[in-house]
Amino acid sequence: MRYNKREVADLLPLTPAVFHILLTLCDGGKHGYAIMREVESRSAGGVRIGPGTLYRSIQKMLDDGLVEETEARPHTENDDERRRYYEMTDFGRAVAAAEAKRLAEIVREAQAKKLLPKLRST
Amino acid sequence: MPRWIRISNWIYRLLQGAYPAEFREIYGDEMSRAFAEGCEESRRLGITKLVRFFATVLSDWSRTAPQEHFDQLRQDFRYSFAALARSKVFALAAIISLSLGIGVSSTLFTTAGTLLTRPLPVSDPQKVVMFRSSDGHDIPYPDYVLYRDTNRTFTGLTGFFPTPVSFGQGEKSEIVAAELVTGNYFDVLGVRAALGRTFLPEEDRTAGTHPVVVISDMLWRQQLGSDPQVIGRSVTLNGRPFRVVGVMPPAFTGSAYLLKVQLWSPVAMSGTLNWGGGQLEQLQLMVLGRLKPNIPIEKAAADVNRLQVLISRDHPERPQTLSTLSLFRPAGVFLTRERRRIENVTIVLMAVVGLILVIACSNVGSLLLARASSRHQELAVRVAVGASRLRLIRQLLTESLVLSGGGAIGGLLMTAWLTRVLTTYNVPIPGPYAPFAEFTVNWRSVAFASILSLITGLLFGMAPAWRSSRVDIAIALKIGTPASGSTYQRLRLRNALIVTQVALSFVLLAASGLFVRSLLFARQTDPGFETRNIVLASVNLGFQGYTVPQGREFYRQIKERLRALPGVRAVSTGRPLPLSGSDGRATFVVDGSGSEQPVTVAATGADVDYFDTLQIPILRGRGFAATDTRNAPRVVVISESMERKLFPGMSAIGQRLRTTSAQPQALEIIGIAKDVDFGALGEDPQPRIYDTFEQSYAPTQSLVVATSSDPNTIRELVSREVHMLNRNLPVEAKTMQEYLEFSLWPARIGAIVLGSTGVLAVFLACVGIYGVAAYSVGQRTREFGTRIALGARSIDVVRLVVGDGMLLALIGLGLGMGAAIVILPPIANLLYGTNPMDPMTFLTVPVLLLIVVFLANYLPARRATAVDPVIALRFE
Repeated sequence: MRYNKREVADLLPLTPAVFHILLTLCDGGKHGYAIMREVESRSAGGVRIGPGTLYRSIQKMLDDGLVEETEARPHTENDDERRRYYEMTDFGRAVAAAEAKRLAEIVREAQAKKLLPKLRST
Repeated sequence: MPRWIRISNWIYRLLQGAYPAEFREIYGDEMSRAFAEGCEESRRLGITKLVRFFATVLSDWSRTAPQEHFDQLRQDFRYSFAALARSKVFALAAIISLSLGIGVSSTLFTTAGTLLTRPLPVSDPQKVVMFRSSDGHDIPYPDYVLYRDTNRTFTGLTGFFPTPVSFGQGEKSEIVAAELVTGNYFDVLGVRAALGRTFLPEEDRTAGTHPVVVISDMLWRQQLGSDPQVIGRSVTLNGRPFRVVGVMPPAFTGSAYLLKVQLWSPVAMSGTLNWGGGQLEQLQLMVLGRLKPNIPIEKAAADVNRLQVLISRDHPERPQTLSTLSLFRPAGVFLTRERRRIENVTIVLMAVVGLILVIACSNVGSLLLARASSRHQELAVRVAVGASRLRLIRQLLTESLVLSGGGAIGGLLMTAWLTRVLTTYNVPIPGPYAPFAEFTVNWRSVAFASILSLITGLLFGMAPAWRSSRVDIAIALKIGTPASGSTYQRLRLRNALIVTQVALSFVLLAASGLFVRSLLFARQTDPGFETRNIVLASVNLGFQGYTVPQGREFYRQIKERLRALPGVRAVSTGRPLPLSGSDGRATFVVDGSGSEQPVTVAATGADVDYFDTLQIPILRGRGFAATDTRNAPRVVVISESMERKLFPGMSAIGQRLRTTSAQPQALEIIGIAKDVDFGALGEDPQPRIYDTFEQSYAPTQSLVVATSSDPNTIRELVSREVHMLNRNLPVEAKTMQEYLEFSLWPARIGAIVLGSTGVLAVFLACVGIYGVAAYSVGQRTREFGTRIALGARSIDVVRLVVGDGMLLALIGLGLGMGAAIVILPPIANLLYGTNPMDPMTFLTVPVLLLIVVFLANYLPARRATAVDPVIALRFE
């Protein structure tokens, strides 16, 4: 689905927390704590999101239409019914992609200035 | 689950209280769950992980809780601005109303604060106290020395007294305000000269030996051309050379705050400046002291009173005094008389300004209420999508705070402008004692305006917010009109606000009407003497060291010269000047009355042609004649009211009075003069006694010149003639009209201030009533459409709307009159010959107000009826 470029660009740049959460949700819906844990493990402990930051970000992402609550629940046995799951919307994906592209361009810039070694494409 | 995890979960629940309620409601459980799981997992991974987890959560909490509040606030403000931008006329009307209300309040606060609380322009002013004697007298110099040398509670005591001094030579000489001060004056006050130095201790020890002067920054700039080489330069004070030793910084204007003191000289030079006999012992000083560290003012007062007892015990030769001494912190206008007057005026103005503010607030309140009815649906929609009532109230209050914030900014701008106008305004007091004060908007004004706007914002916002937030979604959304019960309440509140506005406007308008009438009356008042073609010029030979025979000769010569001028009808001298604000006093005993009770009346010194020059009729007997010389029996003329008072039912001619001085003198009454208003225009006739220049010489006299043509052309000639005789004599010639202006000044200021507040009040009421009428008409467009469609004529609809408004106005007028009858009589003594229940005022003001209210209702009603009924009904 194509989105109005203006609409997407208005949300950029994303805060680190929002971008991390979107990255986490790329693989499917998750609940709050799962997001917190994955963000931390993906960044090898470099980025830690507390509950306040997490739910403030989620609130904003819900408002902006980047994520939505989902009824679909993974088949885990001891899942709490009251627990809320969030998944990325298509618009959220488009915004995350735009942000990734923006960051990639910055990285390319840094490489051109010899701040970073060129990565070999694999 | 281990116990400590349960405890930490519980603590985290508590911490969540810091988040806004709405956020907590939606995400609180989720956050707790995430926290508990994080705890559990970190515990399994080891103590380091657990500590790190807690640290993350705590720092996250301390950051995000305030952020969330801030976000909500920002959102409220964004909504508010958007909502206000949608109704610009409403926002503008409200902000202008509040700006005016807050503006006048904070202007009064700033000016009164400056006049009443500004500290002395000295270092650490909190430590400086002033002596006050219960009988109002100053402290004799020898007592001052004893207090200075034997007290235990002051680091220093200094004495001073203000006096006029003539500065400069020739025609450029002018009278300036000076302070004669003890040598330690500047040291005790802790102020240093900007250029040169202040006084040395030896400069005030021996009388007349150190003619030195410290000058003000203003005098240095205006009279000495900012000469950088001024130190050591010689200047002329009262005709004697003085050496300039220092120039003070601009901020230091002396210790009598309302006076612009231009120079300071040691008290030891008082003789040289022709002040008293030149003996320090005979001087009376105002005394300022600087408290030692940690000495409270009460302790210093006890110390001073202990010394006072010692002085009367050890020096029985001193005149004994029954007065007691007290100490006070001089601030603002500390001369008691001016202070009391300014305090009284401030109280009256505070009441006036308070009324304006109440009008402004009720104005905005009624506008908000009117607007609330049109927003009912908008609010209902917000409730339907989940906004809590608290959130709605907060939102509505934010809106009123945005309005009042705008009002605060507007008000401060107005204050900045008004204080500038007031600073540059010169009080037309003749002589060097023109009061001055520099008013500037300071942090206190800003704080005051902010607090005021906060209070007013909450005040006028609370009731409408409470009312409007009570939304019944079903009804509101279904038929698009407010629920009928709340409409009724809202109408009641709105009507009460309109009635209040009309009532208060009436009080203010009536008060201003009275002052305008009083000013008109004063202008037409005949003071009983000639005021049109008169030039007055004050001369003080005392400053110039004239002996009595020299002085008499001077006055003889100047009168002769002035009489020779073309266009001069008559010349005389007298003192003090009529209507100058000061008056003489004479005390005597009536001979042969059997009573030794002394009588004190107003006194005027008059030369031979005085009554003729000022055209004051002598009713019986005769005025003064050339034969009433020094060696002839002493004679006086008295006013008719004095005759009535002291000699009821009989003629006073030929009666004798006796002075109460050490060597009593007999005075024969030779004439009765018609009563005149010498003290103030329109005053009650004052018993007054006139004595002759020849028999009671004084070095200070006013030359009174009656002209047969325009006095303004003669004015310059009078000064010139004086300078022909003595080019160093300062002289200020003015026409009697100029003095009249001064005398009318209080009446004029009263009329201007109250007149402008009255107009302001009516303007505000107008905006409020118009706004409310416009909104309610807007609300009823459909109803009117229906009526017209059913055959009603436009005029019926207009009558309906205007009738409602006029009824409220009439109730308001009734209440306002009741209030005026209670409030206005106390201001009667500020009015000239005007009854506070002046029927003229009480008739015109209601008519004026009714016209205004009529227009404010008629215009919107007219517009409503112009609507096509088809369009109006389409709303259904």
